[in-house]
Amino acid sequence: MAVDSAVKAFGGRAVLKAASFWAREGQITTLLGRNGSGKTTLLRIAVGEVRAETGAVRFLSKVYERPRLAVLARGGLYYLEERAHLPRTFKVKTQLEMIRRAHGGRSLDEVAARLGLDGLLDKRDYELSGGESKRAALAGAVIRAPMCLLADEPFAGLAPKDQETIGRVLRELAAEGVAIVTTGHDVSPLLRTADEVIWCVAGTTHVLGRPEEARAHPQFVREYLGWHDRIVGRRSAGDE
Amino acid sequence: MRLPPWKYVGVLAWRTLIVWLALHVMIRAMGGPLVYTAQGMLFALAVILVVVLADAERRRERRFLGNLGVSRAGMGAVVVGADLVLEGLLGIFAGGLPL
Repeated sequence: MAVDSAVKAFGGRAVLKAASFWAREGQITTLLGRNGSGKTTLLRIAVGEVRAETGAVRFLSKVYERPRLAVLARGGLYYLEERAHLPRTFKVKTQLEMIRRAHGGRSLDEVAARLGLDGLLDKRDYELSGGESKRAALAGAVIRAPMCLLADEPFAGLAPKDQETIGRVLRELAAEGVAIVTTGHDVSPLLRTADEVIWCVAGTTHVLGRPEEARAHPQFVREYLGWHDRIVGRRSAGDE
Repeated sequence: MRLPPWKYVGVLAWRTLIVWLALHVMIRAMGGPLVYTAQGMLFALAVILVVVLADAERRRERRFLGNLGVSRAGMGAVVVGADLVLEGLLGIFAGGLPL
């Protein structure tokens, strides 16, 4: 999966001028950037929810002028939106069964154990906490075992323990060969799980390399990480 | 085009029935006909499609079904099918078979 040189403006304001990202097999790529830098817009262009003015979306060597989530999903893409929740229409178990029946994949019990969802499968989404709800949504992706997973802000608003669970599952998926793209502002878990960092700034994207290279990039530290890296980043690096 | 799983087909058909019923009751209360002309039927179908698909969007079902490979067209096909069945049944009971 790749989005190449995407251009997009909202109400005359250019959000993306020539932004690109790609997902590589077995790797987690994380898009970082300030609010409004176009991270979510890039993912939404990739799944066809936003139409880029120019630029190309490539998936499995095919170029899509007007990509559609349903078409890409049949080829092996899974998209977890910013506030990923399963619909409230049916119980968690029923909806995860639907994913397994549509695409095959892992057994529900195995996935529930991996994500700590035992005892929650018979509940509906509105009966779950924020962390449980996000883990239930991620369970859909784990059952699907997609070729490519786009996860918008997978760690947002979660307790450290839930962030750890989700980070571990994302790493396990990557180890199985899934190409993963994440975004967000939860710098510690995002950098801890990522293999490659792409910085979204001024409407374009810069490949910063591995997380430790990103942390050593003076402009990225000055303009994005700010005090966070000096306090949290160094401390967690010390822990490791 | 892939259709939604059967449980979602049932849910979409049920919602179509509710909107269809509400629309028919409202138009009847305003002095309109019980059985519509082809043009009226198309207009009612457009309204039902918009309402049911917007409701599915609000409930985050569209992205869930999208990840299952089901497009808006697949969801729309269920709504159109349910609406045609309802209009057909109403035509048979209220207007007699068009023979």
